[in-house]
Amino acid sequence: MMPVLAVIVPMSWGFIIPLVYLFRRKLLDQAILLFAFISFMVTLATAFSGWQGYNVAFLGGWSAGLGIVFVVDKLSAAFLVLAATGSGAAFLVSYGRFRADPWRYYVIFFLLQSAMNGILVTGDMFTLFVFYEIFSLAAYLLVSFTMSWQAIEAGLKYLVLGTIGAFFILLGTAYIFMATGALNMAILSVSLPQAPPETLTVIAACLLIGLFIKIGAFPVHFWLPDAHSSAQTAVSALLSGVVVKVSIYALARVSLLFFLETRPAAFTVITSIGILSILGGHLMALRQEDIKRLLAFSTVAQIGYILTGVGTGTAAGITAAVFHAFNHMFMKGGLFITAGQLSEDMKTRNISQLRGLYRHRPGFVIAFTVLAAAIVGIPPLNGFMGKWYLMLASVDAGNIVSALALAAGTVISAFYYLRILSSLYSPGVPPSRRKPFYWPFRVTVTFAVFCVLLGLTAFMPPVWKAFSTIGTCALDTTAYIAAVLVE
Amino acid sequence: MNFAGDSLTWIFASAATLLSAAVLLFGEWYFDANRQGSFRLLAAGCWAAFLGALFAGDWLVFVVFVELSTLALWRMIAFRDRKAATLYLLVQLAGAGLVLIGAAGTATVTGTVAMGPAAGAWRWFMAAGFGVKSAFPPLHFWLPEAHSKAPAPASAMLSGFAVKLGIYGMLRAFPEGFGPLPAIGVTMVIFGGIMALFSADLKRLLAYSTMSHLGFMTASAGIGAVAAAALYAFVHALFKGLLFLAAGVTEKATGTRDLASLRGIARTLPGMTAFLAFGAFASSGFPLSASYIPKGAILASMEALQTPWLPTALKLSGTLTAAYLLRAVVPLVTGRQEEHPTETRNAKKDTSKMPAWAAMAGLTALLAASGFFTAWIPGITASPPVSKTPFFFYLLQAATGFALFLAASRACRSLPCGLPDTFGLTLKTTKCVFASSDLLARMHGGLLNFYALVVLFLFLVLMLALCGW
Repeated sequence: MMPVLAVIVPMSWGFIIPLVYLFRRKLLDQAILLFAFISFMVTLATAFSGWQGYNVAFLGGWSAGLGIVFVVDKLSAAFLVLAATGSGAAFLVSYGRFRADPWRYYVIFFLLQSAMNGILVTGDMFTLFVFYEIFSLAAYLLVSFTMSWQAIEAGLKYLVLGTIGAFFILLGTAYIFMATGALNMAILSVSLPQAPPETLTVIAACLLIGLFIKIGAFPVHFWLPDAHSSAQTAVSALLSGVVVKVSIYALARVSLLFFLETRPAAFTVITSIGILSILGGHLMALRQEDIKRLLAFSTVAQIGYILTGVGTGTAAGITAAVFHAFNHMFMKGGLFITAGQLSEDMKTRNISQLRGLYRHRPGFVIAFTVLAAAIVGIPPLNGFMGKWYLMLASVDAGNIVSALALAAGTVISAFYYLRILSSLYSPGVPPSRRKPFYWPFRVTVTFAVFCVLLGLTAFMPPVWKAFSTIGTCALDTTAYIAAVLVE
Repeated sequence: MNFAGDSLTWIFASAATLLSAAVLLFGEWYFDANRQGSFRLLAAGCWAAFLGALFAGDWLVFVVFVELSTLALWRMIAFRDRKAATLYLLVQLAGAGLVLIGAAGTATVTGTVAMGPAAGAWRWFMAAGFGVKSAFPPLHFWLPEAHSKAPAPASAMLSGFAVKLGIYGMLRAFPEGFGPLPAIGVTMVIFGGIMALFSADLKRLLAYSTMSHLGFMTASAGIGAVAAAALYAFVHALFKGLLFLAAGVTEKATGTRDLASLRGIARTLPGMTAFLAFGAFASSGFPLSASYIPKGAILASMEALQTPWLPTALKLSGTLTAAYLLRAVVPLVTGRQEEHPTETRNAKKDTSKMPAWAAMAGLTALLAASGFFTAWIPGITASPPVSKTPFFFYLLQAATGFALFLAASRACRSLPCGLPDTFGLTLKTTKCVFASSDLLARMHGGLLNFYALVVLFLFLVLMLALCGW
């Protein structure tokens, strides 16, 4: 029941908000706040319901072979918590800035949240595609919401490339159905190995490239810098922090269920694309003049970090990847919110013109420093611990190139984040007016505090042991199949 | 999180404490009021980070504290030169990354990250990481830049202790020694000596001299002579600290580090010249100097092995040491008095200089005591056996060193002084990185056709890769 609620509840808000706007406009402010709170609680409840064991919901009572199944296990639960926290934070930033004025924005926002939850709990390939379509459409609209020409161009690029990606996912799903006659992920995990090897190759290639495009991995990441930099502050934070992680979850789920024994080369491919993303993202960020574009390329690089974790195909690797996904949400979310507020103050996104901001908004700049130190990988913050666990997992799986890429990434990212910091701290003429940014500030500071806390707690073995059960659960395909194919 | 401590830890920890105390005391005079607060915080933080790294029980905690000390030193170098500071930070981050990879690899073999010997091929990663910290050639390119351009207290902490963390790491990771290290050590000694001899700048000379001394410690670590290397590290911290502090006072008083401009400074700054001379003598390795016992102990452990070239090469390098030390000190004393814009002529005898003098005098006293016996150092139970070299050999070294010094001075007078180092390579590498970045940027032109073609291309590549062979 719970997984279904996680999808239905936010979707229903998407349909109810226009009705509230039409018939009870005065209640819109409080209504939207209430809706967001309920979505947050429902998503968290779904996550916790899947933590102890598998929470499987059979829609309409049909068994796995005939119907649609929603499954929540530890991997889904972790990503649901991530999605809830990220969406909640992005909502607070938007609500704090605009209240309920742009009600269409909130409609799209809740539809996006519903689709993300859908992807995270689905146990069926075609349902995955359906939720991906809702998810993509909502994302394209959110990117171009401000209707500036950059936003529209970015949204268009995202639309074209994203549709190509969705096309490949659909193609892969169609091939799967033609080869096996089933669409349920658990059933496929059992029957795909019997498919002819050539078909398996095509299926793997289609699914992988479709998901790589959605994730924004180098070299099919071209939509990401434009989309993440042209969107509004809260949307950038949401996109970089949560939306790409959902696609990474889809990649992990599909690869672990289908390709672990049949096509282990898929994991090598994921690791290689991860290494390319690390190098490509960091090298591109090196020369950026626009702060939000730099942060977007930094996202590509951090996606590479997470992909090297997924590509190990081991429990330790998946755990490290999930941990780094959480870290990145906090770090990049906070960085985008700060960058957004500071560039709004100075009316420019150019790094060399963002000077003198330490005097003007010391709180934001200090939070930015902590977050930048975290994302570079300075101990004892969470980015460093994430990097360490990724290195440990990579070396354990024999991928030394990934470990070297992680070390090189630290050096290059230190260079360009230092450039931003030296600009922020250098003397300059700050703007005279100062609009208060309460909610963005609170969210940013909370994220910075979480970075410190996550960094310190990851040192403690009991905490890490609890966290590593996510990885072991993700690799436990037999238990997953047994939980779904119950009847 | 693990902390542990044995006698090796205590030697290094006491070196760190004595040096940091002296530097903090010195900083009371060196920095003016607006930098005082930050300096105290950074220096104390750096000291705490050093101790944290030394008392670490596993490699992860070690690297965490080493990086924290790097951050503190980075800020201190940035007080004076931001480019050198950034270079230092980036290089040290790379080195720490290599050590982490080595530790991760060792953990896969031994199952634990505890501070212990590195395993198999991972020793190369550890050695490379420590080599970045301890300036193995060609990973040493940051050393002359960072150590000479930093403010004097930061240089003292850098040369005095920060580079020793690499040596400490090597002693922990290779308790039985590691093959390539003695050869690398000898290269460092000779290379550092030659570069120091032809330096134009006092602090650059001292930085290369640090590299030379690190070569001794590296060679000792390479053959597994842990106690001797630790003792050398302790004494080196003290005399290098003294030398950099005295050089700092000289630089602040005269406004220059250039050896040619500092000729004859002994008349206006007799105290500083005396400290420099004493520090130089302490580092020479001659009998009764502070480094005699440690150097002798290292040579004695090497003589016990079957490789005669090692102790012979190191003994002969004493000539180079003598030569560059003479180059550092003799011009200050005997050169013709030039016009120096000194403050010391007109400055009243103010007590504000007391902290600096107290720090340097304290270091001098400790060094003088170490020349006679080393049993007072925590962690050393008794004075180790020293290599038996006849006194005549030292006199011969002094003479040949003097001749070498005269030749080098003559050369430096006619040619431009200061040999080129690998720093040019760093600039070329950075240019390469930026060029590849620009190349990538050309791909992001905004053409959707191109992006779609890349997608198709990657799809074909994936099909090939996933063929199932």
